[in-house]
Amino acid sequence: MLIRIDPASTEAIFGQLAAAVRAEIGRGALRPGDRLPSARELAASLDVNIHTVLRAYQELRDEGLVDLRRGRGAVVTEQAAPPPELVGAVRDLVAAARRADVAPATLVALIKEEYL
Amino acid sequence: MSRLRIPVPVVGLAVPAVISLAAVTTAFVVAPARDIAVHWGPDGTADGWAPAWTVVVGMAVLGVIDALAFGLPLFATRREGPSAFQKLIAAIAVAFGVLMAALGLWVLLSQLDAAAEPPTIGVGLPLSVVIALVSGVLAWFATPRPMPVDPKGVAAEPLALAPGERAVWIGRTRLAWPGLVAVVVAIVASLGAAVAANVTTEGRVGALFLVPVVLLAVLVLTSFWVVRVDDDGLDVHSPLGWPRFRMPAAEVASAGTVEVSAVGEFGGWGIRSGKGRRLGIVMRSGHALEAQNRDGRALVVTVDDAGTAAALLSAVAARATAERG
Repeated sequence: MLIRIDPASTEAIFGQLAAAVRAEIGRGALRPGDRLPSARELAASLDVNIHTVLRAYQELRDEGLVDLRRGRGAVVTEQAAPPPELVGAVRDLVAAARRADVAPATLVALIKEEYL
Repeated sequence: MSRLRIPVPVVGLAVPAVISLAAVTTAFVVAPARDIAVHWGPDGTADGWAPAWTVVVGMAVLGVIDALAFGLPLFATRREGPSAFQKLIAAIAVAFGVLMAALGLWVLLSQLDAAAEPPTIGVGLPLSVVIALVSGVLAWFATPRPMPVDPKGVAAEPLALAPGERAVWIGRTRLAWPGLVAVVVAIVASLGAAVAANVTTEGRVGALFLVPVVLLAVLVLTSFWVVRVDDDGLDVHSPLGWPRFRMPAAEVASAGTVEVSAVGEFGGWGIRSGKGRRLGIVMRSGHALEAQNRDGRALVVTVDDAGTAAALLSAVAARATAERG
């Protein structure tokens, strides 16, 4: 799985980490039953604090995307994989946003608003 | 390709068929109308007798079995060339056909003189085996080279990284079932052989039990891998931390993906050495990450989503080169 962190961003590092894992689940690079990298290894590679990684993993657990088990680390849950029709709908949505020259941040804001 | 190569079905089917047919025809013509020696005891002297025509029929039946048993896999051809397995089957078909023809003809031709003593098997058997082995080796080299699906590989487009952006790609890979079956069979076979040897020698060769133990240790240490690409470069290690293979970002000349054939290119599974200074962590055939070192060596790892890993490795290598100036 690919994780990208931009320290210059205003979004907290743990939020960026969690978002990156969600995106990897979304594109199918992480599948139910897959193990996330150990927090120690990920923290060392990205040069961030191990507690930042653990906090991101805990957020993903609270969302039901991963199970945290002692000794086994973080494992992607069965519920994590989004239904294929949703993935298709998102692809259409992003294509529509591109056509309309809507910035990614604006699209995300629109989606968040829809949830409220 | 510098010399003539003969297609696998021709070598594996037509050659044994022609040899068998020629041998059976010769045997039919020379077979005397009486009983001859057809079985030999452990000391090499004849102890079984049968009419000569049974040898001719036996040769014909075995020739047909040879063609049928080994023929089928040869027709599942791929456009790019035969698999190593198909080459092996063709070589075995030729060796088996030659062995049967040589043995049958030797049995008949050495007993044409009715007054002479039947020969001992001491010459005919080893001679036939040697001729068969040589034929098999020739058949192997007569067939085209086993070809990987995509021997060249595809260089990855570097991932666009913003200045200061940090990125890591971590993937896992583990031994797929063909390799797993091969190792488990080897462990069970060596364990069985050790038990059998120790029973028959009243336990005097206990050291043989080291073989399955060592194989099991190799299985545990080399069947699971974590593949990591970050600012430091490529790092492939067992979850236990050892063994570990690295290629620092500044030493990466290029990164890409390649389709590998485990048996065809690396001769099996595990930590393998391939042609042209390529080290392979080969857990299955198929999609793999290939990193070229500036010194000419390459590291190949079969792992899912290798394209993303290669793109990031290309990016961090470019960054490391830029930093060095």
